[in-house]
Amino acid sequence: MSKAEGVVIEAGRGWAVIMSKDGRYRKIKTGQALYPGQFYYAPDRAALRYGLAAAVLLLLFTAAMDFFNVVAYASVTPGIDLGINRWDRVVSVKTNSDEAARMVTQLDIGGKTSSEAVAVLVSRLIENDQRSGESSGSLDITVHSKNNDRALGTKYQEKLMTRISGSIDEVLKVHEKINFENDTIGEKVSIQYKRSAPGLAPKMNQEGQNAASQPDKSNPAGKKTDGNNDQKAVNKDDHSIPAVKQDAANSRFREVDSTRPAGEAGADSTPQGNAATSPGFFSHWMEKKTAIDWPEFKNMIKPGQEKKDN
Amino acid sequence: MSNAEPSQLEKIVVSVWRQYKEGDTTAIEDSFDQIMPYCLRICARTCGRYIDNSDEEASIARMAILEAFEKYEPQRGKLLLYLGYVIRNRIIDYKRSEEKRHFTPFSAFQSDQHIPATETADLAELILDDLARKQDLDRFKAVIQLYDIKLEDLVRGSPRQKKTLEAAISIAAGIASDQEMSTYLQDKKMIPIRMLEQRCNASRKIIDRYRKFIIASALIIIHDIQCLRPYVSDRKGG
Repeated sequence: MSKAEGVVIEAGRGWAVIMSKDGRYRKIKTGQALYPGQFYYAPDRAALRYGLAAAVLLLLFTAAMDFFNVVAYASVTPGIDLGINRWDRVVSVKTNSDEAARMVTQLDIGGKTSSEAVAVLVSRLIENDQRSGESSGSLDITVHSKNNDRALGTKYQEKLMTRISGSIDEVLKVHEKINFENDTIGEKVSIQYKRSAPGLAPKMNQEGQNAASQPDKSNPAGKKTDGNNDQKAVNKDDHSIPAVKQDAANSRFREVDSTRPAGEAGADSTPQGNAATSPGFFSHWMEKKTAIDWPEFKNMIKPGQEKKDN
Repeated sequence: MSNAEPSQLEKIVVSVWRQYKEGDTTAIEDSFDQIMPYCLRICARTCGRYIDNSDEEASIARMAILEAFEKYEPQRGKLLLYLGYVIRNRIIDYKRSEEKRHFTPFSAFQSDQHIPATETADLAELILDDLARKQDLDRFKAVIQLYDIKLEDLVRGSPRQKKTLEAAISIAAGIASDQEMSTYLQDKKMIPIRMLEQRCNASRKIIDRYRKFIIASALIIIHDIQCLRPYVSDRKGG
């Protein structure tokens, strides 16, 4: 029996006034049969503590089980399956090759949302293709349920595909040298990409026609803002300088081109290199509103810099 | 309520038993108020819950008193212990009959011993000790009533912080240990605040806020309430 907590001074059914061992008077609720003069022993709450601890552990265990339970897979074509839980987090990754496994390990996509993980994966895959010298390639991303004999709910599938598709769009914009076609068909996202040759202006017309995946809202149909035939010598080694324009299919750049009066850049003007990376730099270029050659572009005055002589 | 010491309770019960044996059946009824608290505690310990006069177990205890008085012989030991033994067995019989809905006649009690005698003896001793403490507590309640202090006031007015509690108890010990201050308290029914401030450097704030607690603690020491005295001993050595 535990040590006496005090002595009962007054008691009734379900209550008692005790003087505790520190000298305080306390009124307590109790199920014990207490009478005046009796020593009061506090009930042993070890069982309650253990029960509470067990309940907390069970809750954590259940939450962990639920977190790591895969409900759907997002498959990226070269044999990579991302297991997604009900919270839209990647909790497992399956690969069919060592190379893919190595790549996935480096990316550390565990715990990321499905859209983030797929976007990172796609970006890396395209970069790997670039490094290996591939000028074009394609990727397919599909979403399917964990059990092959059970389809995913339509709404869930659509929601997942929309998120993945949206994130891929954002990521692929980073690859500015790449033309891409993002074709969402039902439960599948197909990406076909072509790498622009470094230092050369892409052949807009042809490629624009071929890669018309996204409608261009800013450029009316038929408006070609660049004459691609005039190629100027560029610094072939300098791949870091962004291109000024891209093909017509790339709506992001098309918006920029549409602000230039027709003919001002002209067929003779062929901006070389890549688009400006900073908005300030780009707007400064727009203010010029002149056709420029690559050397001039390279030596252009940037805000805050001194003018350089060519 | 029984105001007698345990040994006195034993004497009272034996006296009643003798009167009952001589034919005075009203002696038991006259002494019920003195004997029942002991019987109710036996019932409560047996049932594991609070029992008062309105419970069924209390009426069983009253019947058990009659039976014990009927069957008791001095060679069976102390009457109070025997009474406790009888009450416990009657209560257990009642519980069994409630569960099984099977009537167990009183005569079955004669041959069976449901509970070891030593266990009942220990229980009776514990209860008698509790009753002794209860007498002290009754005295304490009577004393604080003279100062217009109720137990609810003490519950509400007890300091919660440890430091404050120690300071209040120290003040009470200071009053009890000083002849002049304790006399002032008992005569005027008030705390001698000025004397405390001068002699003990006591905090006026604590005296005002915990006045009733300090008075009750001082009275416990002054009137030597044995069962409560260990709880109000001055931690600072006063």
